[in-house]
Parts: sequence; C-alpha cells; structure tokens
Amino acid sequence: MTLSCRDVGDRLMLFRDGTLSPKETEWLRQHLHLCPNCISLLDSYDEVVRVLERLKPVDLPPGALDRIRQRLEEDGPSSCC
Amino acid sequence: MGCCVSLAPPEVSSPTMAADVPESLAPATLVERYGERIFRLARRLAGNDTDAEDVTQATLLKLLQRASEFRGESDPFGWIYRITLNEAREIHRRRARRPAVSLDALPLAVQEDGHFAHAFRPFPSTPDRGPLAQEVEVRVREAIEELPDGYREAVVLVDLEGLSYPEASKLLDLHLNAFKTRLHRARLHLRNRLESFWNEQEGRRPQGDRP
Repeated sequence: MTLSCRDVGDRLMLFRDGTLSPKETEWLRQHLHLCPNCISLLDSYDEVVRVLERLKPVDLPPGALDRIRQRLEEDGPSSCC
Repeated sequence: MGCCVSLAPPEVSSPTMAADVPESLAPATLVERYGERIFRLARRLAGNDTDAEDVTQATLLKLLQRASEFRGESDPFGWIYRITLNEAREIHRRRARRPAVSLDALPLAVQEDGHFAHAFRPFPSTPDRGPLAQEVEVRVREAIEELPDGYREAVVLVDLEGLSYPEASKLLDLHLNAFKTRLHRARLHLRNRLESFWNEQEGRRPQGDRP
C-alpha cells in the first residue's frame, strides 16, 4: 500500500501526535522517504504549531476588569432572576 | 442576549480546568476569581478588546443568573468555557463580520494524480522576539480571526489554551475524529497564511541575501 500526497496531507496531525496506526505510520514514513515536498509540508506544519504555542496572551486593557465589575453590579443582582 | 444557549455541563475535567466554586458569587468575587481567565479566552475568540469585554461581562452575568446551577457544578471552568464560547459566537453573529474562509475541504490544492499542486518549502524558524517575531504574531492572529467560528475555537482551545483533544471536542459537542479534522484544517489554513508571509518577506530582501 502506498499513500498519495493527498493521503499524507490528511494524516499529518495524527502522524505528529503518534496516533496513526502502526501500518499507516509505516506507509507514511515510506512516502516521506521518497517525497521531499511532503517533508517540507510536515516541517512547515510543525513550525505553525510551534508559533501557536508561543503566541503570548494579550494584556488586559487598563481598567477592563473594573468596568466589567461595574456593569455587573448595575445589570446583575437586582435585575436578574 | 442568548437566552436559549445550551448550558448542559460539558463534563470536562482536567488539571487545566479544575477549580472550586467560591462561597460568594458577588460580582466583585466573580470578576476577581474568573474575570482575567474569561477575558483572555474571550479575547482570543473575539479578536478585539471591546468584544472581549462584552463577552466577559455577558458570561459572568449568565453565571450570576444561574448561580444555583453553577454552585452544583463539579467542573466550573468547563461550564464557564462553554458559556464563553456561546457568548463569543453570539457576538460574532451580531457583528457584520466579513465572511470566514471556507474549510469544507482540505486547504491544499491536489492534482488528479494525488500529488500536491504546490511546491512546499520549510519555513525559517520564527525568532522568539524582535520585530520579525511581532510581525509573525500579528499575521497569525489575523489568520486565526478569519477562521470560521468552530475552526477558530478548535485552535484556541487546543493550541492556545492547552486543552486536550477530548476536552475540546466535548466543549464543542463534536466527535473526537470530527474535532481532529477541524483542528487539522484550521492549522493548515494558518500554515498557508504563514507561507504567504514568508514569501512576502523573501520578496522584500535584496536579491543577494536570498538563499
């Protein structure tokens, strides 16, 4: 059994996670051995996940939590059920 | 405000999300206890500070209105996450946003013979800091915002919030395999956007500097 590039594209995430079946993992490895284009795709996919993992949380805007508390106190306890 | 959103407990529990419900559910306590975490999630889902504030406020208001239900909740953060997701979707619907990209199919062009129609190249490693790192961050945030809601939620929950696939799929009411397909296509879309960015960068460099 050989995998096409399209098959590899579908399975990249599972391959990275190590959750592809042993048989499919072996087929995918065989494909990568012969296909530099899919290796490049895998490398760039890895880089995207790395970039996402390093994406910093945004800073809270000054006074945001105070504004939210104030609105809650105005809208919440008395007017709600 | 969405009065009819599903608030069924998501039965999500992990060290990431575990927390006790506080004794007092006064607004000040709720804001202090959950405000920052909800805001950061809302900011990632909504894409801007104003909408994130509205989503946070709406989420906490719902919590106040359903205090007794919340008190009995064994997984308060799972409960809160689900409401935050619903409120963020609601605000997206209300805003006249540009249509999201379609990810119904694998976002990679394939030829009839099964080979990709495109020659891929590995990306340069993104530096940890500096102007280039900031440009990459801006571009990736923009690409996340243009994802359809469900795809953006998948990326935010797993890649930014650090939830496991089972946790995130339960929150989104998806079978695990459907969730994985969604996350995978979303990541491929982001990959394509980052590729455009690196191609633009290469176009800007003097010819002698190109590899």
